[in-house]
Amino acid sequence: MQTPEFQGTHLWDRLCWAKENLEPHQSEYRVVFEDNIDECASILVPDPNWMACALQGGILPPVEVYWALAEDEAKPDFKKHTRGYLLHNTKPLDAMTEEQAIEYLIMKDVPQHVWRDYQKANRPKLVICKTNQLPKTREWRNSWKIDESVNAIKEVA
Amino acid sequence: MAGTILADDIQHSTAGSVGTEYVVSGSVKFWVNAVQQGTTAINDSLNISSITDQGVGRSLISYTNNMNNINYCASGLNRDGGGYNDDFNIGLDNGGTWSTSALQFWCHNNGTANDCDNQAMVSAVGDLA
Repeated sequence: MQTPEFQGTHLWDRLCWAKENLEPHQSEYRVVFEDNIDECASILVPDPNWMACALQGGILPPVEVYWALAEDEAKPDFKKHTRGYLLHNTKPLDAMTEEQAIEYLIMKDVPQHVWRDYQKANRPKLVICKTNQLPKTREWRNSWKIDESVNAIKEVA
Repeated sequence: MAGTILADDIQHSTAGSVGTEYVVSGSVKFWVNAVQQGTTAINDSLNISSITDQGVGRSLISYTNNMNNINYCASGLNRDGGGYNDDFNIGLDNGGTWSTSALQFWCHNNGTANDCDNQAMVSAVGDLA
């Protein structure tokens, strides 16, 4: 199905169109990351409707738009967004592969301090894996950490 | 966009009319139905980009279209237990993530963090960015 020309259309309207017209895609990819050394590892799970939008193309804005909004929100005098138009008026991205979509999602939904310099850390802080590589049960879930023997760069590449 | 209808009011044949701004303002802006047990996954949703499993009973949902401010109104339901009076709840502590782009929620059982056994459901109304 051809994506309508969506630049200038409210992003929420695009998502409603996608909900109506696209098949959800349940990704097998998971992103395991450690945000805080005192806490257990987090596991990011892509939303199937969002993934359908990413694979379709022409719907999602560039990830930099989200960074701009996050910068605005981090200001102490933030009351409400005044640059929401960036979500709606910036040219949407073309279709992504599933792997590209996961990279985009990391840059959107994982804290920047985790992924920006991850290869310079003393140990892996972020790993992309498949669901079958995660523990089969949630036993000791609050103690889960990334295995330090994992070669993060090799695994991510 | 093809198929767009522009209108300021919707009128019923006998019951009067309502401004479309009421429809827009009153619509749910995001919703998610997720499982926390096993491998966390999203069953279905609208306006959600991901869910992050942060530990027992704790999840973070991120939105595709940001909310306009942090004064939106969210609600949730934890489908769990086998009896009508089981003390299963869903909540957010004061220190948890609450922003225009994400929301953290806890599922708990009798005051203890507990993975929702069946479905954790969260939605919100408010203004979009």
